[in-house]
Amino acid sequence: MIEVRDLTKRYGDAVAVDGLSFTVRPGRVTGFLGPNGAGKSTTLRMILGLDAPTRGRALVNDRPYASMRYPLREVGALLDAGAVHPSRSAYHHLLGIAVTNGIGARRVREVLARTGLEQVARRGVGRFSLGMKQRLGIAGALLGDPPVLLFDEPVNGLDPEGVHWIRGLMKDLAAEGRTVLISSHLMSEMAVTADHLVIIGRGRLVADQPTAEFLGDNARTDVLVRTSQPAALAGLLRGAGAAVAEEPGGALAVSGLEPASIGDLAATHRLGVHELTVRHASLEQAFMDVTGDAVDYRAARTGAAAMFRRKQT
Amino acid sequence: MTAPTTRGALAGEWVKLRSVRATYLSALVALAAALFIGLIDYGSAADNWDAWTAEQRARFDPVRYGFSGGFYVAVLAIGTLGTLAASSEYTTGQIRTTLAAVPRRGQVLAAKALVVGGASTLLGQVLAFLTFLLGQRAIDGKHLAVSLSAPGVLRAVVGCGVFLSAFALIGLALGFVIRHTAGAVAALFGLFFLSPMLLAPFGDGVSRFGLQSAFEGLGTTVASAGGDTRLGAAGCFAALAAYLAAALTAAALTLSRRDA
Repeated sequence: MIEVRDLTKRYGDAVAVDGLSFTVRPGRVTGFLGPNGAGKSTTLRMILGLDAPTRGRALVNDRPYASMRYPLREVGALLDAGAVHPSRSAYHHLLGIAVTNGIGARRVREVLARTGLEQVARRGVGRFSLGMKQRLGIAGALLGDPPVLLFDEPVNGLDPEGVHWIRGLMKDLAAEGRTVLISSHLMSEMAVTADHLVIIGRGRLVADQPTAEFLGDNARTDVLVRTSQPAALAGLLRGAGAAVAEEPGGALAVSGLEPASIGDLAATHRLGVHELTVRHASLEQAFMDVTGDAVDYRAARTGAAAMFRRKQT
Repeated sequence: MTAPTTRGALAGEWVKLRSVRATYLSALVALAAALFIGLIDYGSAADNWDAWTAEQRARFDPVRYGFSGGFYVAVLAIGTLGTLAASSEYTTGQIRTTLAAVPRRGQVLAAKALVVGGASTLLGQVLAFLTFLLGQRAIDGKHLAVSLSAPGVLRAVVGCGVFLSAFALIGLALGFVIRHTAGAVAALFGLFFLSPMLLAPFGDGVSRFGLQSAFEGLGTTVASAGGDTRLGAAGCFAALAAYLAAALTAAALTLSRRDA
């Protein structure tokens, strides 16, 4: 279990993390979500005792990380897959970490096997692809067989096969009863990987709830209706209690009524309906909606949304 | 009470030091430069001895001679080896993995200092003794060679080796403070060559406390070969210890106070 209480980090006048409190529980994958620059990595570094908080604290299994005698046996972390010495082999990179916590060469070979790196174990990691470095970073996190795991943007730079592999691994680790926290700026990725979401924007907590609940609360559904007489149908729909908004091209965006009711209503009044489409707001949109006010961009909200979408492509 | 360091931290640093090419490369450069250039220097001294003036002969220090040419390259190479042990962790970002594995930062610094200190002591003494012994063989024909049992000779040879270890550790400390390989190596070389110059305005007496002057003083066995303008052996060792203590203190403070 990871407990973050009132965690705050200031750099001069800038506040990177601002009074953040949340708890990460075992047995499920928790997605730690936020736009780039929201303070995710800073928070993870504070949990690991690498950065000192300005205020507040982070506890892992009720203890500060820095007080642990063999931290790798309690917490495994992947912070930056590229943070490896290029001329050191994968095997020696892992061995150098392992021996500090009394973990032997046999375990190093085990994690190399679990991450599919046995064949390249003796090769210098400078020649590794980003995907292989991610696997190496994950191997390092698994060394101590820890009950708590933190991964900072683990799917960055992975091909679809690698992404699929990571998803499976995260779910397996959680199913084994471990606490798994994955940071990401990709809502769509977390929607399929995470059971629970902790969402931050500008260093502040904006949501902490089960993924399904978050999507239910935030993902709006409406019905796009095209008709020969939009004004007449809009009046009828409003009369039936629906909210109606006009869209460009004379289409109506209707919420509060099922497609069947809308069709029946139009048929009763002999209005021709050309299109009835149920629209689900995308996950990105739901994410944008909750972090929108918190996104640290000077641009107007639409501009920020466009920037955010661009970053994901 | 926290242990100064742990067996695990030491083992980790040893694995890291021996698993990068730069370590072997620095050692090889140091060995090749000290022995190869050293032998050429001694050879030319033997060849030209008959043509030298009395003054030149008086200034000839058979021990210091081997530590004055190619050995400088060895000093810089071993210093770089020590610097890289810390700075490459910051340049690559590996330091975060290191500190996550051993959160008590003092233990990381102590482990690195012991491993780098041990490796550079072994390397330094081998280099110093080989440079001395091979050099004496080269000038033996002119009956210029001195033996280790002659006054001050053993101390000078061991001292030059010790300087290598201390210099590697000063480099290590600068790596922790500056956190960047190019900057830390530049600072280390600058400290070596420029410290006598920077101290010069305060008078000759003060400039003797420069790092390069201390190194020269350590290898000196003949007073007329410049020994009278340098610190004595004890003074050189004390100056070296002061530099080392200051650098390691700065490293310990930086490491414990700054975010990784």
